[in-house]
Amino acid sequence: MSALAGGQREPSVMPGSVASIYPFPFSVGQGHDVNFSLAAGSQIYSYEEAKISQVMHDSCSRFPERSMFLGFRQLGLAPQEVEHWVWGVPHRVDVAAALEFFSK
Amino acid sequence: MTKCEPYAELSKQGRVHFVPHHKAHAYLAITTSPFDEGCFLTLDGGGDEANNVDSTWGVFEDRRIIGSESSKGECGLTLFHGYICELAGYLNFTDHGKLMGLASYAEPPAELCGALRRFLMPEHDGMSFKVMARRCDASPLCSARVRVDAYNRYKTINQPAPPAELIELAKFYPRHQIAAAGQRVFEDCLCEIVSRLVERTGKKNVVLCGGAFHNVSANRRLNEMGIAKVFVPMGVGDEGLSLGGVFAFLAESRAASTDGRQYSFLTPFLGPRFGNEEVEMLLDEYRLAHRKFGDEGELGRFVAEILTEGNIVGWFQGRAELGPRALGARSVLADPRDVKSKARLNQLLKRRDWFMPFAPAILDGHEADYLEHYTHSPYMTVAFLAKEKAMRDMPAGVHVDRTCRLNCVAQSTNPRFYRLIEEFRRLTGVPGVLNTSFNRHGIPTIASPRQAFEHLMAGSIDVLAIEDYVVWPNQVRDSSAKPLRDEKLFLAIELLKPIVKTWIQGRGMDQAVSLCHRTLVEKLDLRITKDEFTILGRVFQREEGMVEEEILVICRELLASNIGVLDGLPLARGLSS
Repeated sequence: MSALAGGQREPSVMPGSVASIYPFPFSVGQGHDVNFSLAAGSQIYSYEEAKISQVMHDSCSRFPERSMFLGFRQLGLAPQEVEHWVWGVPHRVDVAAALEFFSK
Repeated sequence: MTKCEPYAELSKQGRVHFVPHHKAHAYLAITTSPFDEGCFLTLDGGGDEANNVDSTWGVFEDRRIIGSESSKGECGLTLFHGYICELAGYLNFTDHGKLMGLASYAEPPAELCGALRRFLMPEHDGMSFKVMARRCDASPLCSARVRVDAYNRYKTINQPAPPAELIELAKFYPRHQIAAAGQRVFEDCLCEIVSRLVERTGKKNVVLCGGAFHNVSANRRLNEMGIAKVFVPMGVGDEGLSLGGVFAFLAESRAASTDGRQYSFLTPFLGPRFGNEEVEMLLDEYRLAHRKFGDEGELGRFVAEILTEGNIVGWFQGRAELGPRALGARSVLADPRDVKSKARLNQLLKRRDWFMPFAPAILDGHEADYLEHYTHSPYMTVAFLAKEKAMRDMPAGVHVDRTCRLNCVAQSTNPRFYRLIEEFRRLTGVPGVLNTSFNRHGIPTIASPRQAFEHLMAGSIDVLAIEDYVVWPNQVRDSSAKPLRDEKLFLAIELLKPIVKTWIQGRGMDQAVSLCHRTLVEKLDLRITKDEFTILGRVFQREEGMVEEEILVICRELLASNIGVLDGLPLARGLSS
């Protein structure tokens, strides 16, 4: 895993690391309760966004940003280091939003 | 390189993967189960928009799915349970747990069970059921129910009336009988499905996943059938789907030689951790009385002592649990020996419905002393029948139907919680504490130290044990301000409801009275005429515009000040005085 401080070093992919978001956050349609998981080496992180936002059955939030970054902090990993991304199957995709996410 | 290229590049490299809803459910159960081979069943309210399936079933070997079938749509058994929720005055999707808790208070009326069952049509050779009743109207927007600080979309948008045929069927029954009948039919159907699955596949290991299996009473029935070993994972609802997605990807991409057992009985403590530094910042900010403990044993001893003094303790330690069950990281704890702990938690602190049960957390190795048919269940996903010893030692942790959904606490996975319970055992002889999720009614379990401090100051707990600190609120609350009410009062009101409702609506009074508790009607000197309602010698005229709730409030207050009149009445199963 690479150092993140100061952004001095380009993160390299950690082989075998898997991040997962359910549901696909750029899907067009009804909202679902969102959650995020991350597996790297022998470590696993998994958490629900509703526990952090304190909003139950929230149809408005589509991206588990806080549970995601707490997970990266917990496992000492950066999003760029994830080798595989697993998503819920999308219904209809907001392509522009999806592309923007992967471009950052 | 344009902005679009990284996504395309990831796809080309095989680094982006999509997993359907029910496949993620299935792999969460398969991967964390103790079984290398067996069969699986997933069941929920209809998957999602891309995977509009309410149930899948099939076989796995070497922890990989080798064959599966599915039932499309969202008209299955879970929707049926949702309709029963609505008939009992609760909400589909959000209140299934309430229905299950209330169901324990009544024997299900046989004629209502039979009538409800006729609305369920077997499909796929009996592997699924379709509800033969549809709503007749669309969901109205209820802006009156919008709560900015406790928003719940199902309370705001999705609350159409249940099908008219079902409303007609249940109109004269009190809601705990409706709940009991609906729960019984749901369990019977689930038992039939699992029996067929075992018969068809010849597999004796069954893993179950999907929102329907949040129903711990149904899971108990499945466990007690004895035809197969049953496993229900943590994160059994949609909260476990991202983790299920990870496991689906890992299982289907791993080499055959890789050990698939490494996640068997995976620890549930998979969420974020916060340290003493964050707690200290908040202590500085809120200026609350506190004490720091440098030693785990000392902290456990102190918290055990304050529990024996009747305090309700917020317990916030280490990495948070995945899923809605509190397993000893974000928990509210109380003394299980005192039956009043349940009423105090429900009515004053968590502000839940009066009937909602609480579960004990018991030290690993003591489960068989307290429970019948116990099989290892570290995620609170199965209820068990309580033995006499449990009723004696932990009455607040046993539900009215003598069931108990315990959390078995292992030293290896949660050493600090284990130590606390061991200290409680040393003081009291009882190896368990009452354990419920760290939240208030209608709000998710908390995640962060700040949320824990806010609960302390809002009066949801008496004391907060957070990492190495024990924290007190600045002001001691007056616990006598709102008196605790007896369960008998709530039950009597449940029984009176259909009578009052029928009277207000001016129809079928004889039938409503006949289905009510006859002894209760006599004891309360309840008399109903076209224009008058008499109870305990007080006469109420039926006035134009009078609503059901107004009458029930009057009845509640009258009975609260004459609670003795209910003594000795067997108002509910397991509650005779």
